[in-house]
Amino acid sequence: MVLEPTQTRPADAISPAPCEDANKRYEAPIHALNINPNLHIAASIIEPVVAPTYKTLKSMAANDRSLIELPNLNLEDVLSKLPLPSLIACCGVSKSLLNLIKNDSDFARMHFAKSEPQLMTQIQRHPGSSIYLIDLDTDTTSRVEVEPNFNIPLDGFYITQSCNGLLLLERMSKAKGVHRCMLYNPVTGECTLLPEIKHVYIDATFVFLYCPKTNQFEVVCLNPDSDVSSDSDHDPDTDSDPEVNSDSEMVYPEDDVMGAIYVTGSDSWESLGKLPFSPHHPCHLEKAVHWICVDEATKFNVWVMKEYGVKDSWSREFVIDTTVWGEYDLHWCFTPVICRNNGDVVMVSIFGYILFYDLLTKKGRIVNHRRLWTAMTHTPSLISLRDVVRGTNLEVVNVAPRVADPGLNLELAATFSEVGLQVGLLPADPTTLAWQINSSMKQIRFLIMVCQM
Amino acid sequence: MSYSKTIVLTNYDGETFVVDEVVAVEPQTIEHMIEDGCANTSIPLPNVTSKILSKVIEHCKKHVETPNSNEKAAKADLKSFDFDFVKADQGTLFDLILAMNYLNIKELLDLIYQTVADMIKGKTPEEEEEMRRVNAWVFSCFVGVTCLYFKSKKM
Repeated sequence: MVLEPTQTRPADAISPAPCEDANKRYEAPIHALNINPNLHIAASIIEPVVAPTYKTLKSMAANDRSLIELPNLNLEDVLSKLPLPSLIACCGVSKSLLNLIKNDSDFARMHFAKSEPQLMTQIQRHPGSSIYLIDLDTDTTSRVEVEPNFNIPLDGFYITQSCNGLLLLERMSKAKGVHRCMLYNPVTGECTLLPEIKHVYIDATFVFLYCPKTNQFEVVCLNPDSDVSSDSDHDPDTDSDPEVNSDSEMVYPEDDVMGAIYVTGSDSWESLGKLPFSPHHPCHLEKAVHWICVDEATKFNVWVMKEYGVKDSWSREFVIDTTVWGEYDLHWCFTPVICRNNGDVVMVSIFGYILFYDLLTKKGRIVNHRRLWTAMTHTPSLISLRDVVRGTNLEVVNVAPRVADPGLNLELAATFSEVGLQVGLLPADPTTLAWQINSSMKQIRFLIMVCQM
Repeated sequence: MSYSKTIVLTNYDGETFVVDEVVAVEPQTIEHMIEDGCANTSIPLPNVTSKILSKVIEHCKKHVETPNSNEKAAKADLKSFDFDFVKADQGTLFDLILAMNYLNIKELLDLIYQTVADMIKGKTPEEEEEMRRVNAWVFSCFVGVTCLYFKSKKM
């Protein structure tokens, strides 16, 4: 659908407001923004130093050959450059290709290292509705919508986070305060339930991290309310009254944040004790570390950590001012979702507008889409969940599309009506903070703390 | 270009190619041979045909001659050269990849890989749709991916 020029200003008109020192900020090198030396998963580069055999030498003389006959190493290199839909289509070519793409974990990792994050959205509010991947590598005139129809296998689970090809699904029972988390790879259709965690407040934030390099995953629970955590060692004297603002939104004193962590291989959640910061809804900016976005109601500030690990080096590099967008300003609730390697910031609006904003040229374009309920980045991955949880007690279940495993269904049916946690698009919270999902988990915890400064 | 040594390459067909050393060391294999002192007379390349070798030399020459600067014009020139260079039939690309396995020029190999990958995915939406329809069974191999098709809309 074309956005009528009468209704909107052309894309070129989208520019930031002339704020002080703006020009200076925009001159900042873009590479400072989107390249994190720690983030790049080392691609398994296979050095092709294979001497051709007699057979391949003979085939060099022939005229018409299929690329399938290429040596395996070359073939893998070529295939790893393909996007997921093309790759899956390649499965139909031969059995060996199917086997390579579906079952080869080394190839899966190689392919993942080269894939770009995409925008994953859920169009319907229902938690079990399909997920769509929107290909962002399209020109201004056309929109390519990849519709892999990733069905969420189990009712009641909401997708809350995506990290390096895996999704974290959460289901909360308000009455019982029991939280279940599930890991899910929508491409391979595998899921695994994590042990339940009790005494979780409804506003608890879960941070999920998975590092394909070390094959470790970690789920951190940031539990903002000590009252619910009845078994915590919380001291009532420090329990200052939570401020209640006009939106009846709780502002939690920092002392009240409790944390719990689940790491690969453990059987239960471990308490982290009190945390020195209060969690808010994170903004998922995958593959672009050092980011923090603070919503000043009309502006998004982009912060960059100049020196990695030095918290004093945070500096505001870019300001995305939405007030100059006319009717496409904050009324449309744009939320930054992802920063791409080409320097584009992708922002989405709950009304279905997707904005591509180039920080350097200060220009953007808006693409109209259907209404979105959730939007996050997701890098499709062929890495099998069985591979991820190997050596742990977790059981991986393969889910057929639309029909979940009957056993699992039965277990969940009892609490289905009590689902209270609804994770929609990130709200325009005055302190919407973002931290980067990094492959390095220790750094993440540090980054979260820094965000609070 | 200042004075430079020349290297003689002998290929599969027995033809000889005389190239500047700066060009000849682009392929890592030849560079290593020269370093090891095995290149006093001529370097035999029995795995490469003359057609492919001349193409590879053409590519190396262009990349050596183009000044390694940040000039936009030079970069654009190199890009258009690369673009034309890989406009070859599948057979030639196939041979180039095999030759690269032997000669080991990472830059050129990446370029060809990308070209081949683009050939595989570079289909119009209609073709994709047809391909998907014919290969529908493939998608059932991935339980999480039930149907997969492209929708392209003019904005």
